[in-house]
Amino acid sequence: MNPTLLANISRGVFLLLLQGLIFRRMSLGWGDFSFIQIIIYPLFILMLPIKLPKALTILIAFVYGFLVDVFYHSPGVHASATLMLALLRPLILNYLEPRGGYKIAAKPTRRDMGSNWFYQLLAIGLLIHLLWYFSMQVFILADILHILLRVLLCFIPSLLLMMVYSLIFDSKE
Amino acid sequence: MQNLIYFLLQYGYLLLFILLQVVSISMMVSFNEHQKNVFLSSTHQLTSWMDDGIDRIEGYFNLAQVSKDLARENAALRQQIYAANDAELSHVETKVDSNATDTYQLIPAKVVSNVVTGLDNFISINKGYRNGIREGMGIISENGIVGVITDVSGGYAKAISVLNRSFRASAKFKEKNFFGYLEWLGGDPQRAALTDIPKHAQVDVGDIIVSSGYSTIFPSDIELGRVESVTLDDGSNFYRISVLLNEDMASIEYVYIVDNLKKSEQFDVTKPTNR
Repeated sequence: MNPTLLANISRGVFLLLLQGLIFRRMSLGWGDFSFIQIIIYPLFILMLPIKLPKALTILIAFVYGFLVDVFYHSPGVHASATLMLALLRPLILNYLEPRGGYKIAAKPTRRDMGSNWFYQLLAIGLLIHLLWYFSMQVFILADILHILLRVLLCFIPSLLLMMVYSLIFDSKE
Repeated sequence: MQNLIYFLLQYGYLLLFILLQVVSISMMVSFNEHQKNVFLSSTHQLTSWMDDGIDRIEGYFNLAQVSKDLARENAALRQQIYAANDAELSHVETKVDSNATDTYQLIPAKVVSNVVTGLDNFISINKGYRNGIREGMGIISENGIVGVITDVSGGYAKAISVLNRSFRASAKFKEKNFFGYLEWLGGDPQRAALTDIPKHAQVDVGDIIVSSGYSTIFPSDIELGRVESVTLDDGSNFYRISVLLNEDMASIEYVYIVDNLKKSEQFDVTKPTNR
């Protein structure tokens, strides 16, 4: 089997289980008002091959978001956010494109593109994902301050954990 | 054709994105309690608000007719006051009268949406729970009965109108004591049927039909309309009576909600006693 395909599938399954079984249960907050959530599965969408056709990325993102929704019992909410992330990913990649363009075999990983590049990708991608996700979850756009507070409180621990994940697993690929 | 294929190759991912986003959001709205509630309450707010706006505009065109109706109603009310003043002269009648007026409280309201073209029509009014409107209250206007409240929200209420096949009101002749039910069979919004009048009753065209007051919803002796035609089918014991309604349901604008203050009392008495 194609090693890139295999790497992506195993990453997808691993992140899905990690998110659905472990991080879903971890939420910190005051009383039943849990503000701090950890969301790391967008890493899978962000680390799909750079040259993957847009339509295919969107389709994969929808299916993946739906699988996360199955764990969260919230049909459509995560799927909507991963869709938005998949739509905007080419723009982020364009923005971060190094001088001279991407190398043919370049993968969007920390090892291939460098820590600086990779962490920028994670930060922008995660921000887009969380903004859309919490807008859909709260669903009342007038509560914009509430949405932004949630995004901020989720963004920091999630980004840190994504970095840790890439430090642990990236070297194996 | 070639252009279309080229376009799809270029921008197909956008169409796919929009399609899947619509799927996600519709899943969200139909399966998640919170999102569903937000969606439903905001759409309901929007439609009520639009109905209200359109009605406000429409209201200007009807001002002449409305003021004429109000003047006529004022006159009728004045007459009642004079009658009551007269009655004060004899103490017995006053007592009876005040007892009767205490039974019902009227809450004025404006119609915000009204349909007369269907088989089962509903109307909405701009008073709701906050104004003391409750399910099951009757609606009347100066020309007769209009409907019965079925759903109440904070500032609005919905009612089945007289022009609804599940609407029934107890009615009788003004001059004679036979009573039956006023029903609407569909079709002409000006005509209803009076059922259950036995064939030994003497019915003439032009007889005035009033509400009977046997139900707890409407007060008695509200004029509803006049007998337009009477037929007796072979072998039937009941007349088939067509009533021309006083109320023009298609142009109704201001109504009164009837709050029967003695409803529970009246209801308890009519309940069968079982021991």
